[in-house]
Amino acid sequence: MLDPLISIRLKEQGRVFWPGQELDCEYQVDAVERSDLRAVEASVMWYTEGKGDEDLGVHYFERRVAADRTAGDLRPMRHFRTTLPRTPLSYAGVLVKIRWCVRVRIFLGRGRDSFLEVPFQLGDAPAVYEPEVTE
Amino acid sequence: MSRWFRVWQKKRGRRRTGSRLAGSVGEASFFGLLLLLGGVVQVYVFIRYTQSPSAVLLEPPVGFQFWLMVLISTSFLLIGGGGLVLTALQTGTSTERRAALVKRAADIDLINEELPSLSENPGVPDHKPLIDSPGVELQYRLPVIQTQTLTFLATAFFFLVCNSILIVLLVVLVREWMIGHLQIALIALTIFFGVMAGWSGTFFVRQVRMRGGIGATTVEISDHPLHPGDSYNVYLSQSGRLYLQDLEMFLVCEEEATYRQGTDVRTDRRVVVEELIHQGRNCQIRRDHPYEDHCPLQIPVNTMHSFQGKHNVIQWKLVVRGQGAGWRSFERGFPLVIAPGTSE
Repeated sequence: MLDPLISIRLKEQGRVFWPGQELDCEYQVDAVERSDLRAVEASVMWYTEGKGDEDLGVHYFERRVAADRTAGDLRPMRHFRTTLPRTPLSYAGVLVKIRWCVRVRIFLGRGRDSFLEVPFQLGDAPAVYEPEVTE
Repeated sequence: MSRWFRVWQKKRGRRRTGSRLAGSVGEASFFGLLLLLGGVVQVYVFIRYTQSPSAVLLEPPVGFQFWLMVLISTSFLLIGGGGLVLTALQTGTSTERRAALVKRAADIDLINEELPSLSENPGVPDHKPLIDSPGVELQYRLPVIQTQTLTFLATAFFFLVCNSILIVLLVVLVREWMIGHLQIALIALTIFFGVMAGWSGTFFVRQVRMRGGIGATTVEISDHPLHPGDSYNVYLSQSGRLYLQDLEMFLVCEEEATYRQGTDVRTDRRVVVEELIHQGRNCQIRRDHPYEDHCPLQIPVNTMHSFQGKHNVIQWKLVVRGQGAGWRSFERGFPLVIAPGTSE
C-alpha cells in the first residue's frame, strides 16, 4: 500500500518571512482513499530543538473532520492565510534552536497518522556559534 | 515504522522507532490494570471488614494493616484512573491540537480578567517584575540574580553541624578521660571532626567577610524593556570597603536548556554573547565613598530577543565582575528583557 502524499506550498513567497507579514499557504492530500481519510489538521507553529526538551507553540490551527462535512472529502486543495506574530523569531543557538514551520497532519483509519512540515524562517535573528576555546 | 515487534525501542531525534498506537495501548493497559487492582483490593478489604465479628459489635478493626491496605488501594485507584483518563485524552490528539486548545483557553482567561494580551510578543518573558523598583540616578533599578545566598546558607549549615558534633565528641572524650577509659576510635573521630570544623570555619569566615566587605552592587537603566537598535544609559554603583583591580560590566546572553536524563531533570547553561560595556581600573571603595559611574549601552539591530519557554530560555543580563585580591572577587547578574522593536 502506498503512503499517503501530502503537499504544502507557501504561495509566491520565499522561505524568509517578517513579523506581521501574511503567510499564504495551500495544501493537498493525495494517494489515499476518501473513506480512509478521517481528519486533517493544518498548523503554523514554532518548536524548539537542541539539548532541552521540546517547547512548542501554535500560531494558527485548523482541523477538518470528514464526518463534519457534507461532501466528506478532505483531499482537495485547501487554502488559508494568517498574519505572522512578532515573536518568537527563528533562532539557531548553541543549546536552543527555534524553528517555524507549516505542518499538515492527516488521520487515517485504524489509528494511523502521518504528517509533513515545511520549514520557514521568521525574522533575521543572527545564528550563534559556540566560541572556540583557545589555549 | 518498524515491521517487527521489539521490546526495546529507541528515540531517534524527534522520531520513535515503535508504533504510537501500540504505545498508547500498552500505556492504557498498564493504568487499566492498576485501576482494576486498586478496585479489587479495596472491595476485598471492605468485605473483610464487614464480615469480621467486630463490625457487628460496631467496633471497626482500625488497625495499622486495615488503613495501610486502604491507602495503597486508593493510591492505585487514583494513579490508574488518572493515567487512564490522561491516556484517553492524548490518544488520537496531536501535539499541535493540544497546544492550540491550551492557547485558546489562555486567551479566554485573559479576556475574562481584562488584562493586556500576552500574545503581543509570544514567548518573550514579562518585563513588569523588573520595573517595579524605581532608580535614583536613572529610571529603573534592576533586581540582582541571587546566586551566592544559597552557598552562604549551605556553608553556615555545614559549619554549625560540624561544630555541634565536635562539641559533643569533646564532652564525651573528656568524660572518658576522667574515668580513665579512653578509646582510640573516639580520639580519631574527634580529630577528624576537629579538622572538618576548622576547614568549614575558615570557609564560613571567608563567606562572612565577603558578604560584609563587598557591599551592594546597584545597576540602574534609563528604560526597560530594551529594543534592538536602541541606546540606553546604565548607572553602576558598588559599595563596601575594598580595593578592586578591575570592575567590569558585561552584556551577556545565556541559553538555558532543561532536559530529562533518565529520572533526573538537568539544566545546562551556555553563554553565547558576552560584550564588555564598562571597565573600571584600580577602584578604591570606602564605606562613605562607593564606586559610581555611568556608561552607554547599545543593543545591536539584529539581536535575538529574550525567550522563555517551559524547557528552553534565552536570557539577557548585565553581569558585574569585580576582581580583587583573594576573596575579594565576585560576580553579580542583573536580568534584562530584550523585546522586538515597536516599529516592526
